[in-house]
Amino acid sequence: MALEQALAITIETLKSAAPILLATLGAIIGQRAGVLNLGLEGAVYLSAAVAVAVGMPWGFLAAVAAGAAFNLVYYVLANEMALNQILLGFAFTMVGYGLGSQIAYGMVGRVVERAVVHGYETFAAAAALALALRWLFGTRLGAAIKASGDDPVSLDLMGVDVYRVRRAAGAMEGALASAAGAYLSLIYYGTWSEPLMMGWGLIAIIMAMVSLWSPLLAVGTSLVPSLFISLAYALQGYLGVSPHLLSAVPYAVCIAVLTAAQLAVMKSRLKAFVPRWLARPYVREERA
Amino acid sequence: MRLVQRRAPSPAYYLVAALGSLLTTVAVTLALLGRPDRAVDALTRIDPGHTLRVFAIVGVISVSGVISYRAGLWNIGQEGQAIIGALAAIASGSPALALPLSAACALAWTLPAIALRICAGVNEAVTTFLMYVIAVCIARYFVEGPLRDPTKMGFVVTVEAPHIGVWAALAILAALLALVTALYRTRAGLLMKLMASGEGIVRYAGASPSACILLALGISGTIAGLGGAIEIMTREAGRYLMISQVSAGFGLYGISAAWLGALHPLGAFLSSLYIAWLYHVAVNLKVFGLSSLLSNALVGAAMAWGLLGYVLSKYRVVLR
Repeated sequence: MALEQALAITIETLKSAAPILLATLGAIIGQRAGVLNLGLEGAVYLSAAVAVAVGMPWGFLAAVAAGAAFNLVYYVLANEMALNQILLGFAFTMVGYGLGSQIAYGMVGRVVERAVVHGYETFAAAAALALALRWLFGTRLGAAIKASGDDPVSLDLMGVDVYRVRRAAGAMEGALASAAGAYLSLIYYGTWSEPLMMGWGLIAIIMAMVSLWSPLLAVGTSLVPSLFISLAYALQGYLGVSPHLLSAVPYAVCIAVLTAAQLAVMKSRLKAFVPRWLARPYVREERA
Repeated sequence: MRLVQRRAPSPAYYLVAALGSLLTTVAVTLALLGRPDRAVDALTRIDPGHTLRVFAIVGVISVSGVISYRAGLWNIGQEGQAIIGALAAIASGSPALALPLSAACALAWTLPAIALRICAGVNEAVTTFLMYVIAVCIARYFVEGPLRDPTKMGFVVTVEAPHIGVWAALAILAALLALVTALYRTRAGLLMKLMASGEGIVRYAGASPSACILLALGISGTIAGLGGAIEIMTREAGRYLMISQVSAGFGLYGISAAWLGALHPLGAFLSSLYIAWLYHVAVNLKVFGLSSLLSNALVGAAMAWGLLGYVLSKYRVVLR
């Protein structure tokens, strides 16, 4: 019985880790490029809404296209126009919530046709994608993305268009976050509910930092919040604790894990992993 | 497209931003409602008494934003702090105790984010945002549990918060604006503004950056909590929280007003009026059968315009 429950929790953990890993990989690309995009939360939410509104089989593609375009607008405003990355991201999250809720307005509570995929294969596919991303960071484009987050001035002086590199990173980030959103509504929940779709992108933003912007480490770190999400569901009946309090646990865990990671970074050579231009706007005319 | 720094900031661009936001709102309303007569109705139907109430709430929370952002600190958890303030007001049971208790609870709620920023260097934007999500979960627990009104059978709401009038709320807003204006004329206020230039500059000025962070984020969280308390206490009826409506969205409204108001107390005061109007447009759109979260999209767009106004006031856009 205990073994069965452990297996069920493991499968549930892998299922809920899949969207977190996908969005975390997107956040890693963006943050490595020097952009701290809190609007990722809005991109996940919006794409989940588009996916459920369009339905199978085109919902997934439509969601990825919409989410990538939404993210790209954010990147243009945050980089070319140098708008404050953090607050613009917050504004984009709110815009994403508003647009998404309107797009999926008629779908509340309706069960949609679900893709014939179980969550754990998606997690395996996302883990393979993490390997691919690790390879990408070794290529010329990957090096440019990392340089854009570490030293955009030098990158610019080498003749590489920093803004174009960041736009490319933004499109990839948006596509991955949207894949996570589409997975949530078409595979994980198979329905549309506003509160259920909220918070996933936010967890991914934190997990990108916790994994020290390493795609391979992200495979492991994405399991931490998903384990608590699964446990919260599984333990509701046993603990007799309010489900609302249990649903706060993954976010509290995120804060705790982020703090531990930050302390580890501060007190060790891991500091070198932090993109030095993270959340700082690059204005070409102000370069030293 | 390139950004070239202006010789001196040009605050007039905040007006351009406000105009941009206005045009966005009109265009979105027209696009969603389809017919110009319905759009005009949605844009112009306003209850002055209710507008004053919303203005007072948004104004108070915008002051919280001004304090935080002028110090270069990114408290984006005003909504969570407001929820905690509202819960404290409900739990207080008396008008005299409600506001001090809300302020104290909101400050306590903000302290973890402050401590993590000071002790571990954790980005306060991320922690305050996460604390907002946690605040929503905790508020739902209180609605169903400790603060549930047992007299309302089958209707899951909290007990009612004590009542204060709109004019009292406006007086609180005026007092806060006067206090903040006075604060910026003191050494502590100046140091808080200096934080935006970097912790090194504050240290060079002989002050402690940690103290400045504590002061700025602490005041910001406290004021946001007051905003939440005022929101629930100024309702004419239904001064309770429901499971589905623990988050009223005024945190976002306040942040938008702060940016549209050029992070100046007086500017925030004026832009709060505009945001109050925007709130009414969103309510009217809901009456026409659109999603209630659409208000977030309109106010989020207003915030983006406010951020654009900030950039345009400092830089010229050169196309080449």
